Amino acid sequence: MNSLIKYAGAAMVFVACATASLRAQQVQAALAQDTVGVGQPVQLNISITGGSGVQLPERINVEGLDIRRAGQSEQTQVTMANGQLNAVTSAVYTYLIIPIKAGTFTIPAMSIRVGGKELKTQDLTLTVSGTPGGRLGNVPVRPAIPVPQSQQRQAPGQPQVTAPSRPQTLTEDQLAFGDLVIPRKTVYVGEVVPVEVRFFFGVPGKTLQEKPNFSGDGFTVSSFGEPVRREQEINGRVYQVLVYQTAITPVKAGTLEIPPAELPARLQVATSRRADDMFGGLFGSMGDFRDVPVKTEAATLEVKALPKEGRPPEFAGAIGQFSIEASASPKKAAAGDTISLNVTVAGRGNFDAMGPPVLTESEGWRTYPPGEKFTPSPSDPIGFNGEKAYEYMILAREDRTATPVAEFSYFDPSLEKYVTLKTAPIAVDAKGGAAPPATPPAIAVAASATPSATPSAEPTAEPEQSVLVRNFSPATFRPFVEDPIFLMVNGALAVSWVLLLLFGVGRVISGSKSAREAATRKEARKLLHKMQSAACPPEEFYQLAADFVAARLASHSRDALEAAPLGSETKAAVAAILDTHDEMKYSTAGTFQLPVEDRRRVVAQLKSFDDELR
Amino acid sequence: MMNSAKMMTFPEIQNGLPLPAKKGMSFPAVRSLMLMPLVAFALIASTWLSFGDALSDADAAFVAGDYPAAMRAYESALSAQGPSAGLYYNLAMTQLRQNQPAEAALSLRRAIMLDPRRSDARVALSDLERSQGIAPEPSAWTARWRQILAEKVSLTALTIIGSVLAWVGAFWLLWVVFRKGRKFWPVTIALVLLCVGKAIFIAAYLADPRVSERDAAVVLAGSGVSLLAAPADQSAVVLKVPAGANLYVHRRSGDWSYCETPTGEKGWTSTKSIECVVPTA
Repeated sequence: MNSLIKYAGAAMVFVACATASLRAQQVQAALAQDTVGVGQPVQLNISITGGSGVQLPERINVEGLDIRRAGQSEQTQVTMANGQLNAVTSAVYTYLIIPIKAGTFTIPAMSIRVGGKELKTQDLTLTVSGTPGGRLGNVPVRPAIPVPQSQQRQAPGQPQVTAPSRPQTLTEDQLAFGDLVIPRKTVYVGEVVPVEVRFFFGVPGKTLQEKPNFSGDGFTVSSFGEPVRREQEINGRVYQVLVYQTAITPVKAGTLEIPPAELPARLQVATSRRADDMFGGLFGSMGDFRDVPVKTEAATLEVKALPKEGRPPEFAGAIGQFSIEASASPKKAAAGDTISLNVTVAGRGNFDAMGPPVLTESEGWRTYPPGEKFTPSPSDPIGFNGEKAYEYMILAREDRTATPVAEFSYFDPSLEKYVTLKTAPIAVDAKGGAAPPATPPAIAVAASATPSATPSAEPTAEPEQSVLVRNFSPATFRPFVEDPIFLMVNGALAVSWVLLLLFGVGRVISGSKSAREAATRKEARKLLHKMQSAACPPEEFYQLAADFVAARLASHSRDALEAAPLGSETKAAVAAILDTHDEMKYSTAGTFQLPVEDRRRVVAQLKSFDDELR
Repeated sequence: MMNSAKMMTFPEIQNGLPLPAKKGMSFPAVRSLMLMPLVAFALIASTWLSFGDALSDADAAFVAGDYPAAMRAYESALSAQGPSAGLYYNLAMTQLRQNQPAEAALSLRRAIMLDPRRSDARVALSDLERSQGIAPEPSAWTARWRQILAEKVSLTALTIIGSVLAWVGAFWLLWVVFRKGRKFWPVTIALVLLCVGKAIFIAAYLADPRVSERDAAVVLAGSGVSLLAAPADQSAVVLKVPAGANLYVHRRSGDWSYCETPTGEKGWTSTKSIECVVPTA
């Protein structure tokens, strides 16, 4: 049954390995330390994910550095996700670098062919100080991953690098062992020192707790990240290695005894066949188990106090290597508007304990304690590398054209001196308030929380009288457009405009042809109405009749009468009326008589004429 | 004739002719009318002088550190004279000294509303809000140009200029339309005047904080307020708003007000814990 399981498992791994080649390959190069002393060995790891069996050179040529291949380890990780088996092969190729002289060296990028793909590592910079290196603490200098002596190419005259060497036949206390790697022997109070704790297991077994026990007096320990699991061959025997990364911070000066780190584990000590646990797994052997504490060695560090000489006044506890840069947004600000001044401190060191940069050249500005945000490097599980962003809200009290300058002081343990970095002032266009008030009590409290960090944040004392104003012009909360006078004036203008519009429209209407015709008809009817009056003498009666006809025909011509769309009887009747009018007008016969019946007849004829013309 | 002349009184005779009789306007009445402006002027002058004295006393109390007295004096001046940006600003300074940041925020907002060009009030409010941990209000471009306009020019003058231009354009348009002759350019110019005038008028109207901030209120409760999901004490808390923060009141229901923060969160809070920037009568 076990064989069946074993073969099935092997088949699954084979399939998984076959699919692994389809996965993306990655290559990454990293130095265990960026800054070392002359002669102090440092490890260069080239991690290759998604491929193995890569050909790498035995030596890398960089003048001033001796770089030799020290070993390699490979690992295949099989995971089951969404019912699919995935296998990822990763390999770590280790080089050992021995600095021969001081200076800053660039280790060039390497082109590596992985799975048919040409991948490139990045350039790395190693700073070598004149301080002699050598042994660190009481731990022998060794590469981060111990390598078998058989694989090491030891150069004559180079410091001895020893790997944990174990005999082929393991005694009981050599079934598993630990190694505490501290990269430096002398450190400073408050300095964050990265530490690797490694546990080597030569037999199958499992750990009894997730994180090692590691603490002591005189230093603090950062939390452990997830361990990295590797396989390592030492003297022909394959060890499973758990590597924990953490950092210690000494809190007092003097000799610091660092006790061993301990990881309880259950180890298989006999060789019967049984499947179990993380190290046995599918292919593990079976046997009796024994609980043992796997321990590293103890270590000793020399802890020095930070020097008082040369300490800048703005030093706020930062220890490490840092760079600084700043940006401002927005670049234009009206009175009362703040500008966000973002200052980023990047590098490696005690980000947790450092204070913010100090703003100087801040005359005419009001500044406030900044907000801060730390972003660790993606590859750094302990928060030793990264960048911390500080956001200062600054407010111009007077018109300003440049932001304050951010100053950041830190102690560089490799240079053993204080360094002060400054940003350049950033050009802005900020308008200041006319008479900024004195700081309110609440603001004063907030600013005093970090007096050393932002001394310029404290506003200058202003006379009490100067914060008061003397302009008490009456005002109102009612908008001006709702002011009664404004509304009345606009209302009157609106009414006038409407009236003028109506007047204009009226004029346009009255000037039209139909309007003229209507006016003519109206006028003609008035004449007709006058004719009906009994008091109207005959001469006037016929004159009115002639006028009526002329008005209705819009002409005094007889031709117009002939051309008018009238019946012959009507034309004849109207012609007779016009003849009578002419006779009365031009005759000298004397007074004419006009009986009432004739008047009515003439009026009736004219009405008929009027009706026919419509 | 002599008898009748003897019977006439002095005011009715001028050069021997009787004057026409005046209706309801005797000499004492005229004299009273002439005196009225003088009395009014004297009253106004005395009021202003006493007002000036009261303010001098308030300033003296402020400088002497007697902030309660200064605060009372500024408040009584506001009651007597009516709203004034300067008075609200001085009151805010006094309230800050009295460690009343929420009340000071309210006074500063009132000062800015009455006179948006008071940059000193804006600076003080900005300081105050940061000291209270109140996040700066997000400034949309519309709010931004409104603020710029309000800070740079007198909105009253802008409103009048816009109105005048618009009316000139409107009347010119009317005249041009109904007159005979070529019309294209006169009509175009009239329309441009009308549109530009209206645009200026509308911009000034919208930029006026008395319009745009009409519903603004300030949290006065010392510990801030909670915006609740419903107008009930046991409702879920949507957001905590610190004292002195700005809110916009959408509606009221009994003792509850439905408010919105400048960042858009909405919820109910007790009406008693907030006060509108525009004072209620």
